[in-house]
Amino acid sequence: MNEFKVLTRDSGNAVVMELHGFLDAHTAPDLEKSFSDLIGRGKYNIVVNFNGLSYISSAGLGVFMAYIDEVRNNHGDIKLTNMQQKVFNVFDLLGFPFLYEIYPDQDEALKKFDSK
Amino acid sequence: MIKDPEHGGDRIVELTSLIETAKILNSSLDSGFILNHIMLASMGKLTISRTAAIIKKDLPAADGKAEFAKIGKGIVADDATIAELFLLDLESPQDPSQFNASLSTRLTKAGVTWVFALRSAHRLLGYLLVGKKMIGGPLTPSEIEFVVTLCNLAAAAIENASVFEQYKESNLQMQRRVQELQTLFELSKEFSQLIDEPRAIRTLEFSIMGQTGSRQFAICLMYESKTRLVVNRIIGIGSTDLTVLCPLEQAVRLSTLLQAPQDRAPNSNAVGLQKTVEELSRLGIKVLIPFHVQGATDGILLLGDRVSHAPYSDSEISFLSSLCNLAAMAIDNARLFQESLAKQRLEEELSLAHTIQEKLLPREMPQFSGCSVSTFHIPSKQVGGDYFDVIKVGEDRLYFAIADVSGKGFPAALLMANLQSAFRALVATGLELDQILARLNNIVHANTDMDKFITLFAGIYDRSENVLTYINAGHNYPFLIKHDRVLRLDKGGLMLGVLSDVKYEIGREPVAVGDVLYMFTDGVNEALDAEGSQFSDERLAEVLLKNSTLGAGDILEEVRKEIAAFVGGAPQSDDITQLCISFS
Repeated sequence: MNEFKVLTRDSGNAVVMELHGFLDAHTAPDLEKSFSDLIGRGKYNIVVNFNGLSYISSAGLGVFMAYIDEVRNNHGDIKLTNMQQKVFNVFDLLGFPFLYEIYPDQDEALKKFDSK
Repeated sequence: MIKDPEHGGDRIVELTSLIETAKILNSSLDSGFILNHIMLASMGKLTISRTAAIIKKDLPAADGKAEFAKIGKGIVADDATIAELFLLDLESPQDPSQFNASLSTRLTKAGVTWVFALRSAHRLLGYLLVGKKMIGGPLTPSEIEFVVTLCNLAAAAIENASVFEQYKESNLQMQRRVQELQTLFELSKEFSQLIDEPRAIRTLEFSIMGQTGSRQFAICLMYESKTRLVVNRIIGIGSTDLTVLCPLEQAVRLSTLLQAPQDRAPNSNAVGLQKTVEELSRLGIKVLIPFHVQGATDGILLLGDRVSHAPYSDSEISFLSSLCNLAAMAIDNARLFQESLAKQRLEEELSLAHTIQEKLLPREMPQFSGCSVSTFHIPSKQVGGDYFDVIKVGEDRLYFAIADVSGKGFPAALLMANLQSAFRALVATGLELDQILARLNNIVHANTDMDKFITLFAGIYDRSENVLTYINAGHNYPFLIKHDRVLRLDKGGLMLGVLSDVKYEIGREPVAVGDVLYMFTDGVNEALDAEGSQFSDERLAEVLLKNSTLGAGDILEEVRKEIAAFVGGAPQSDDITQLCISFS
């Protein structure tokens, strides 16, 4: 099984969260922990880079839903970037492009935070 | 087409433009583009300033009503007018004056001069409405013919586009189904491994959010007619009475429930249900999804609006039902696991208590010249209430006691421990036996409820006087065997703990060499055989008489053997305690 991993690093006034592996019901709590850590540190400008993520299920999508309100209420955002087609299809199928900004490239998302 | 001597040139231009239009229309799968194109073509060609095009959507809206796609360029028609037009099911172009007065007036007011039908081979797809020509005058027959041809071309293209859109839509539906199945498959695997309720609920929460795009929901668990709100993402739901929703058997839209609540939850109290449903509606709840484990309602998902406000489809609701039922299984497993864990913990504690209690009983008998003391004690499986003690005081006095605390389990064990420490402390004071018993009684009385009591036999053997003094506080009468004579020691008073300030009478018996004092608890004389009859005092007396010449230890062994033979394979139901003193 393709192990799930989250790497976070600061980049300017934002934090980049790199996802790797499989994000499903089993690994969703790991992502949840990463989000709650970031929010606990007062980091609300979050760019999630999906480049290394090869699979996402609806439970994984749910984690983004769980935190978006709190992040936006604190004038931040969760912007999604570098999705593989397969992963984007799931987002698209479940109507998530309506709810999140999705960029082809991480730098583009970071720029949006810079210009704030 | 043959050249018309008058309009020959125009005809050619018209034809070329129609062929051009046909090409453009047929290459598009976007009905919006197609409509737009024929509108522009007719406007340009006939110098019409205002048009509108309407087509009926193939997939009706969630409420089941027909939906129309409208493009207006200067003409605005309301839905009711459009619906009326569709009912007419026109085939040929019509001038609105042909319709009923009301419809005619409305269309004329909107600026419509002609209504052209967009028809495929089998059905009416829509209409093109056109307004006045800018250069004035009515449409000529050839102009009408041009627009009809345009409409026919458009209809074919729209039909194509609609087939394509249907295909796209059903493809999307299929992908959604596949995605739902994948989700169910993944979660059934995940849930079957979970034995932790908060984790199972969190997983369900993520899946609902991910699958529906809704953050507005609450999950209420129901167990033994109590409700517990475990997820609350809807402000204000905490004060709503959700117990009335227990009888709900199937997922239901709140709008349905608002109309006829009793039909869906027939066993619920009508007034309470009505109130709850109204409150939930006010809080924005859209769908109620109960979940079941083995037929019983285990909980309910109260689903509010999505972020996108898109309504929930039937298939989505049935998918969520399956999802919740999977989670219910995991939640139920978690509860069973916790219960068995608690039971295991209790058993461990009980066994610890048992060990502590055994340690309170003397393991070695004091050496005392003039008599030999032996004990025999088999505790039953549970923590019991039997107690015995033998204490040597100075060189001449031997104190002993045997007791049975009422009940079993922790309360009996605690009371027995309390008795042991009080008895030992009182013996150390050197008080007379009746004083010791009176105080012991008051202590037990003060420490227990009415229904708890202790039967106790306590005695002192004084070697210097060869006298046995004793008090029997409601205990089984011990046997004093003098050669072939059996005495029962019954002097004393009330069992301990029933009344305060009881006076006890001291019994006194001289003892001689060869006498045997045998004390026991009711585990001995009330030992049951497989048929349920008791070992009895009579049998006990017989065994004692037969073996009275043996030493204390051997007498106890003989009694044990007799009881074992009598009982056979029947399980031991009570503690068996014997205490024997043979005088030498």
